[in-house]
Amino acid sequence: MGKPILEVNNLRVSFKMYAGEVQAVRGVSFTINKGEVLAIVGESGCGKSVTAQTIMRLIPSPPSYIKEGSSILFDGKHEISKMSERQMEQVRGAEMGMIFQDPMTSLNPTMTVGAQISEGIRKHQKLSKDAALKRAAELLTLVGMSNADERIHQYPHELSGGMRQRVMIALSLACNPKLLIADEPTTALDVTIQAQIIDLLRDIQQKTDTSIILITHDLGVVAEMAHKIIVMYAGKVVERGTLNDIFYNPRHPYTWGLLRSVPRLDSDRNNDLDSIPGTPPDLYAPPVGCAFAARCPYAMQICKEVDPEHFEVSADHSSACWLLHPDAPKVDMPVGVGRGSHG
Amino acid sequence: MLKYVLRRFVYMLITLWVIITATFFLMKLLPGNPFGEVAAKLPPENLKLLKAQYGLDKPEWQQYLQYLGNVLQGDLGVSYQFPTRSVVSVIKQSFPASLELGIESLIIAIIIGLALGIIAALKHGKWQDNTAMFIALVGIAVPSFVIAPLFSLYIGNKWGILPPGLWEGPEHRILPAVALAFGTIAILARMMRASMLEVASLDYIKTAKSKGLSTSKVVTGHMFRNAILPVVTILGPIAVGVITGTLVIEKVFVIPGLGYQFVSSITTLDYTMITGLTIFYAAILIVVMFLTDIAYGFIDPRIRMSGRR
Repeated sequence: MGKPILEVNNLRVSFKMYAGEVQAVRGVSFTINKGEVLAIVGESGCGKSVTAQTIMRLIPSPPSYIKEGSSILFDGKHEISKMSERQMEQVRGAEMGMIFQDPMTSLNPTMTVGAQISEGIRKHQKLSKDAALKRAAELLTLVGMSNADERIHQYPHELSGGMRQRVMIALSLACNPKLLIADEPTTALDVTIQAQIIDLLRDIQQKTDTSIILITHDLGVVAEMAHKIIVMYAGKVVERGTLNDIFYNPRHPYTWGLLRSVPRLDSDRNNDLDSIPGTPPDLYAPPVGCAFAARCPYAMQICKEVDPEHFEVSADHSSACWLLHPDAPKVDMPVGVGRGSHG
Repeated sequence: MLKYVLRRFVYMLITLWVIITATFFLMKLLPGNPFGEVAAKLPPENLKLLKAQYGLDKPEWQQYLQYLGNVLQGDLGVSYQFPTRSVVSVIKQSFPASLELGIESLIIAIIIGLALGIIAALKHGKWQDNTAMFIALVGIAVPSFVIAPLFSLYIGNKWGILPPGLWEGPEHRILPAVALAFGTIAILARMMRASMLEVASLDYIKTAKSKGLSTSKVVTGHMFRNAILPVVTILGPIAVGVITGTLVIEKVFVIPGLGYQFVSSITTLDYTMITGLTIFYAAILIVVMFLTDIAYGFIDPRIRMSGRR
């Protein structure tokens, strides 16, 4: 693994709403190196998409704003949080690409696929219209679409969901970005298509050595691709580690819950699926202590009063849970976790 | 695309036929006599002659077929009120002024209305938005029979900047066209603003931004074309309303247009004139809707393609 491509430090993002301030992201830090795939997992509303879109500054401001003390250092030289809109235009598309969740709505219905892909190429690489279209056709071939020369003249509604997501991937790769952010790239697709898209992403990642931030709540997808994982809950990172750390030696009760809630083929069909009881906290007024305490079966008094710092398990692996404190009672991992369980 | 256009064209003809038929029989259902009070004073044999002259002695289905045949040949009949003038000649004489005024005012309205709407949407919630929407509110709230006389009185008469009325040189066009455009500007600005705001929140705008496009490129390349669709839909009927002449503006600025003819034909119960003008209006509306449909097909590939099936 090479040098760091993106260093996010104590990122805090809030939305100023009529009813008050929503603290969507509350101090997230992570690093991703060149050629690495980092997965951000967590349930809906935990701040993973906001984190990702903030890295590209795609969330309109107002109402969102990046709070003081946050730092997003890209490629060792660009401080994203301080850049002007004009400077961002040079970074977006050229050095960072983004793949969105729903390919049905993320392509412009009134523009041909080729025009949409070549737009970014023409802006960043100053190519002529024809040369850019040719490059667009090459990209479509790269993402596994046949008849690319005809495809570039088609409109999104003439393509299936999987095809559109391929177009989206081609579009995000158009200028060979150093970092690709994939925001739930498979969530809106059929299971069989999901596998194809993940294979494609992994293939491209290995060929081009692009760093990828993969945002998902699908642990199967994570297991297929990720090198490192951060688990987010209520706008914070609750556990970070390598793929093996998180799947075989998870330390945070929330991670346990996530892993247990994956349906398994060998489980008894008459039993209910495991789920984490309760709902995430209200981010208008986040709790003082650990945000997960209210839903945590192992919560102690201190969990409700003081928010835990990260405890190191190993060099790459840490978890923000009081159970890891030397004085805490020893709790064993529940059954069904830690065997690399994924669907 | 050709198939789509052809299909629209056939629909257009059917609609026109339905309107001719409906108008014709509705006129027959009207109580009263096409010859007004004169009929009561005429001897019965004279009245019979008069009816024969207009073909009113035949059964109604025959009259209908004959009328339909005449309309197909472009003959809308002779005015009952002025037997020397055919309906077609009245249209030929009055329509050009209404059409010209309408088109001029439409161009003004589209340019200003869309610009206001786009500015308001891009500066959503800021003072530019509030100003644009205030102008739109005034445009809707103040009717043309207030704006037109004020224009004529102040700009035309008191300050003498532009002629207060009549229909001669280009300088005579400005005041009525602007006065007529006011309401349309308001409608278009509001529609465009709402439509732009809706499009701005869609995913593909984020995609466009993620490519590194500048805001102006995103607006012109991605938002405008998608946002204009609903506006084009209402533009058709609005255009017809503006083109076919408005009584108020024509009266205030003394313009020899069709709006005036239509109203006077109703007050004088000139049946052929009412039927003829109704069919003419309907025909224009249908043609404009036809053009709107085609424009739609050009803007939105999804509509173009569905016509192919």
